[in-house]
Amino acid sequence: MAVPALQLEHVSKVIGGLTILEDISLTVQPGERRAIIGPNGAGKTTLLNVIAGFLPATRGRVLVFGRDVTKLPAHRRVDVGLLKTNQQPAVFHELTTRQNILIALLRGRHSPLGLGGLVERDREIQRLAEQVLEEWGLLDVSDVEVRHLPHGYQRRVELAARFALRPKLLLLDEPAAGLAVDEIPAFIERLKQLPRDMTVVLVEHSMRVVFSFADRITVLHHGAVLADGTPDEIQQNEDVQAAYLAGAMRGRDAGAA
Amino acid sequence: MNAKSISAQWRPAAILGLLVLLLIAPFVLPTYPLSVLTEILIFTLFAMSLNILLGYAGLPSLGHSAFFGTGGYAVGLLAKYLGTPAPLALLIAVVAGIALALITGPFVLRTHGAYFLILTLSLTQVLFGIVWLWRRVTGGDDGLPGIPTPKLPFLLGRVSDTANFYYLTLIVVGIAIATIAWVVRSPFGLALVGIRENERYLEGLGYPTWTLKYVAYALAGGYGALAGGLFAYFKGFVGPGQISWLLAGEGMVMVILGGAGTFWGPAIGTILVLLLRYEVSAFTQRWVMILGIVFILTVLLLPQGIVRLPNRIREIRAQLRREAPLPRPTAPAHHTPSERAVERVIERS
Repeated sequence: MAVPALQLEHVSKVIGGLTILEDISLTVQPGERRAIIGPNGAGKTTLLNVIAGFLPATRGRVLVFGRDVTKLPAHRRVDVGLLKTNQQPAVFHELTTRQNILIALLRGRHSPLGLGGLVERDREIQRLAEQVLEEWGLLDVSDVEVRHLPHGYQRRVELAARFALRPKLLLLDEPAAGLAVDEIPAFIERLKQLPRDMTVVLVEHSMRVVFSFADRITVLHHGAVLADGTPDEIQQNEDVQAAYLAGAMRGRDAGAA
Repeated sequence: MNAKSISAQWRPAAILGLLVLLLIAPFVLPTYPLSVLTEILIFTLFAMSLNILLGYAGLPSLGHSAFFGTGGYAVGLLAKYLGTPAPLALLIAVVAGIALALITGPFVLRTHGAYFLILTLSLTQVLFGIVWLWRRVTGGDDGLPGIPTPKLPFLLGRVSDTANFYYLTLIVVGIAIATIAWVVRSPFGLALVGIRENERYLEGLGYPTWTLKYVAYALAGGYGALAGGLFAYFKGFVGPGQISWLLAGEGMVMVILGGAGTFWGPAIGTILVLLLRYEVSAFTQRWVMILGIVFILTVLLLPQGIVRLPNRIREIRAQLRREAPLPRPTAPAHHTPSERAVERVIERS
């Protein structure tokens, strides 16, 4: 069997005496689309932050493509192909759309300190940026400061910047949050078009997005894994029904769907 | 954005024009204004070096005079005890500034916002204390007088001493500013702005943000020390005043007044502060009060600094033509780098 894209081994996270994550183990295969769902406060975002390296794990190990990254800082984990999006789009508000893309592209190409050369004179990087902007339908707003853009566009800038770095393992933290209901189908389409060799871990409240996208679903509850299985299995699971799903399905998403 | 591309088009011509003006200045200006202009050049470099931290990387340093003073004392001590020639002394001053930054960086860069401000302030106070108390070497509050003014040999006898040192300053500051321009327009410069905007997001894109800040801090220290070295030569004297946090505060005012995070803003701020000091103080002792009023008005009306004035006027004119209500300032106040630095200070306190 291939080396898993992501392996968590007994990961715990304690913040200020409070156990946020407790003994989480899970394995995500290469190319898999894994959704992590659970009620608010279940520890989903914390889990993504532990995987991405923004929070150190208190116990346990994190392996990405077989490599132990538990002790690596977040920026070093990008080198193994791991990138994460944020609940609030992780974009630089005072920079233009183009500059946001350039920052990502420059990291991919230059040494991290990259003192060499002037950005505006680097034809190659400018051409690549132009390509990315076109691909993501951002050419119209390429010279607009991102803070002026609506949320959906900011999300697109965020994703475009991350894709410019060709992630192998992409962590999406509630990417559909803040999207209008009528934007969701197009967004699902976009997610489905992600290259198949890319592994995606998705934290999402919109069950519509989760069930139309995920190969497998992990349910977190009070910081622990409550269930793990295919979307069908999860839908049938009585614990999940009781803890979370029924409410979520009946609640906001029934309306959205 | 449009306005920006128009100004970018004229940038080479404008810089060339400025350079010509600066080159012929000694033939036009009497001695006193020429020495004020020399001082403006030196402090422009000082403000621009602080701008790397405060404006680009969003690190509000209130201790930048530590580097200015280190450069000054390096030059002063070398001149007094070893008679080191100026080019070498200035080089050593730069190295001393960088070394101070590399040593103190790991301590001050652990913090952000208010804590960074206080730690850099403490750093400069510690150095001030050392200089003040170590009388035997530094001369204490008497400082080190009698630093000989270096002169450009090829201009000896052709221009006045004031003009000679002015040209020397122009060359050194000109080269330094050109390299700063290169730094801030490099991928490194763009990454610094990313740190100012959101350090964590930048880290998420794979940038080693701490290392970037460390390098920026060292660069700012080197340039700051170079300005301090030049100033010691300019005055022929170095004293504790050149290391005092008051000077660091003045540098901060220069940067924010002109426009933090913009390239030419600090130069404009420097010109304004020094002209106020020398012109207004001719008829009132209260020039600092005038400076305060100017500063408050600028922050209220032009939150991105005086350098944005043309854009602002253009906006207002465009709005008037449409007979619509006046637009808000180009950016909401809390979005300017300097304001955000202050905001972060408030947030964390």
